Amino acid sequence: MHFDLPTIWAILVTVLIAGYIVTDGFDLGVGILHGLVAKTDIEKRVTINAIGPVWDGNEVWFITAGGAAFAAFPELYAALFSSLYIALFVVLLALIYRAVSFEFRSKEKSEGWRKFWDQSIFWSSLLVALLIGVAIGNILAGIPIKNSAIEGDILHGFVYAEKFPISFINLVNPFTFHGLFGLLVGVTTVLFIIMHGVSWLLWKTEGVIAERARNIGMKVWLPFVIMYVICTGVAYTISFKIGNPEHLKYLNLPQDIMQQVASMVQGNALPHALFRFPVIELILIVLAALSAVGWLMAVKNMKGGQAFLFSTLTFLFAGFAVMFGAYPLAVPSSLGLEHSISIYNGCSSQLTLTVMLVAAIIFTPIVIAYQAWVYKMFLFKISPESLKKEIEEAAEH
Amino acid sequence: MDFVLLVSRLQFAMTAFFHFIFVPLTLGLSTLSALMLTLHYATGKEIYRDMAKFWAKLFAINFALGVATGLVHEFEFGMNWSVYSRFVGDIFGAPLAIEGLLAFFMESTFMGVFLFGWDKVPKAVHLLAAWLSSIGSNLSALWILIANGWMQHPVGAEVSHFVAGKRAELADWWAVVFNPVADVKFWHTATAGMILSAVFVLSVSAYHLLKKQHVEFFKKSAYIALIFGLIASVGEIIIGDIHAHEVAKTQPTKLAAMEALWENKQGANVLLAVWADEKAQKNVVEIPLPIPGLLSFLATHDWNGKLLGAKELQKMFEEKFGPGKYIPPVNFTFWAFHIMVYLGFFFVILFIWGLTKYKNLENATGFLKVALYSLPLPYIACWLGWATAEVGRQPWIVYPLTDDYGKILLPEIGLKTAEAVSPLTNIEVIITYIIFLATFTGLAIADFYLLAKFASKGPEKEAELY
Repeated sequence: MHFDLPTIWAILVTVLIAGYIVTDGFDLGVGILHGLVAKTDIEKRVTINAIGPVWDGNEVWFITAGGAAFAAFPELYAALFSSLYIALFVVLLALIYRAVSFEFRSKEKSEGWRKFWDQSIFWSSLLVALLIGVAIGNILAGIPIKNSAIEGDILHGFVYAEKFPISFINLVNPFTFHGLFGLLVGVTTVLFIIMHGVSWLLWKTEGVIAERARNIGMKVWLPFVIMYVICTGVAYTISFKIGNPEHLKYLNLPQDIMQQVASMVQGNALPHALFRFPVIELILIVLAALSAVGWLMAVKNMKGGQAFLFSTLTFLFAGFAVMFGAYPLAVPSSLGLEHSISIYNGCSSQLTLTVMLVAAIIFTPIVIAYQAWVYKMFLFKISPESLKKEIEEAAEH
Repeated sequence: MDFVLLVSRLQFAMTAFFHFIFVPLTLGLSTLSALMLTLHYATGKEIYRDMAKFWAKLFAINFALGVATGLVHEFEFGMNWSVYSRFVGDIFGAPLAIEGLLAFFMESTFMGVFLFGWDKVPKAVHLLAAWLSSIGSNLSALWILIANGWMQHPVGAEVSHFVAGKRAELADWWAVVFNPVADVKFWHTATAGMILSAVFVLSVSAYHLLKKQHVEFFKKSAYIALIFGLIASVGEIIIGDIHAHEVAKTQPTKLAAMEALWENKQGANVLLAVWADEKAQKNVVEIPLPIPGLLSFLATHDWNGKLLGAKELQKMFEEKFGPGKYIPPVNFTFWAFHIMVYLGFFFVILFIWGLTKYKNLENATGFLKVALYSLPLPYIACWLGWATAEVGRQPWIVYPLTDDYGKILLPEIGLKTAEAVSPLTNIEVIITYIIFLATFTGLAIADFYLLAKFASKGPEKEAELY
């Protein structure tokens, strides 16, 4: 590995995205499980209260990851968000509905009103999880972007080469490789998010809701493991073609990395492009699998805290395996490796990366410290019974 | 105009417009409810506790949509303005990232403690959380305005050739942070949030006082709002003057449009009302304030100061940047700016009027009615302020850097809005525009309904259960 500012920032942005999936992941999971584990109105209020004080702070990880990508990798931020325009739009829309659903639901007594927002919580949580997975799958398989600088255009940067509606349909078209891989990763992500939601419900609630969550958890474990294995297998086959080897210089890679990549090239392609460090990746993948087994045991024994730790580890190991594999590519191009966004041609200037690093070093530990403190404060168990008691006490007051 | 450009501009304006329904109230009301909670813990009086709880509930309903609409903005730069984003990201992205890291986490995490922590966390922690949440909100305003201020006056930057193309790169971080245009924008906006919140509290209080219900509760609320509002609105006039002075120095074309100034003028008068014929480049109707030289004084701090007119500026810009229209729409910018200013003075009068009636406020029907119906006015003032700032910057998305006398120092950093848009298709932008518009309209209506419902219900002892 080559430790320089773009690499450090690639790790930091990955940590922020991981922070998002670990924190907002469980409340997305609770959102999907909301209607399944909670049948009566009071039970539904318990599941919402289980994430009430924290989901909003969790979503900030998403915003901050977006902001950090903008600051550290502006070329990537600009290219990716305009390329995945409609998909990102749907994710934003779902996040908007989710945010207001939590807030609005209990503000009106009518059954229709509450049912509407319950449905909105389910669909928006599901869509966010699915589409994030679909986007990751598509990015890993390579999206059709071209570097306009290669053609001498110095203003437009990396530009998406396909036009709507193909651009959107291809993301989820099971008859193309990208679309199929995107869907596979999407479904795997949804299954993981459900597992993570189960962890949280076991940790935060007791009684009927925790039991239902456990039963669901026991059912989704096997499908998740199978899907994870399939995705890993498919990812191993991914290779990127090279149009013009001369133009590989536009990747702006440091010399040693460039030589290492060049040594892997066979003919006009880079095979097993996502497995440049097979040994490290294999270790990470095995660790992810072991964590998933640990999760199953914890769920079986209704140990919420342990389950949460293990679902977190599952994701972190799996996520870092992917990050390692793709390094130093950030967004591979399906038009040719030379059009890809690497962390070296997508990054900000040294000065900006340095300034931002100082800010991150100072503030990230502070944020993690007070978020952990708030979590600790709100980590008392709740159940329909405890909520009923609270309502009665309030009525007496 | 190119369709994708047009719709992208409309979409940004529309989402910003919705976002700014919710943001200023968040900025000010978080401070007001923290203030009420402080009064409760300081005096031990139950009424302040109920006040903090009541206003915080309205705050929470409003906040959810502030977050939801703000989320769009963080990503809209990359989605619709990819060329802009890649051109400025090296500088513009940093304050946005810091805004998330420093401000949003603080705001949302401690808001959770404040809203959910009643009787669950120690009093001192609860109070601290209320204040930290409010400080977090205002810090977020600071960082986003540092970003916006840079678009208006791109200091601390140089233009470089990177492997992916030409772009602006950071040269001096502290120059970006202490950009005078950005800093005055922050005070201007934060203070506007305080005024808006004061009018909001006053207006809701007036509703109840007119009905003679919860009189003590809303009289006290109104009193806090009147004092808070008066300080903020007087302060805003001073800050507004400093802000306009900065604009005069750094964005001469914006100033010319704000004041409908076509010809170069020494000792220029303030115009109270104007109708301009933009084609003929002159004013058809012109009602000046009979204080000679006041505009020159405000803009340059010299009664005989020389101001450049739009005609001359157009010529200067053409020489530098080639053919094109360099003067923003004059009637629009003039009226957006002037109505905002008139409303600013109106708020001062409103708060003073209320304070003179304060002893017998529940019977001051005339004042209460005016206060009640004034609710939309600070919202309108905020929107018009943004319209002045953003439309007045056109045709630029990044205004070319000038020195303090309007002379252009770094022409190559100027980026035109028309060049900055993403290579999207018509159908893509129209889909997102229509669905965002429908969604935000629907959610805003639901939000207003809930706000009205809980505001008119008054304080009730009810468990915060969600």
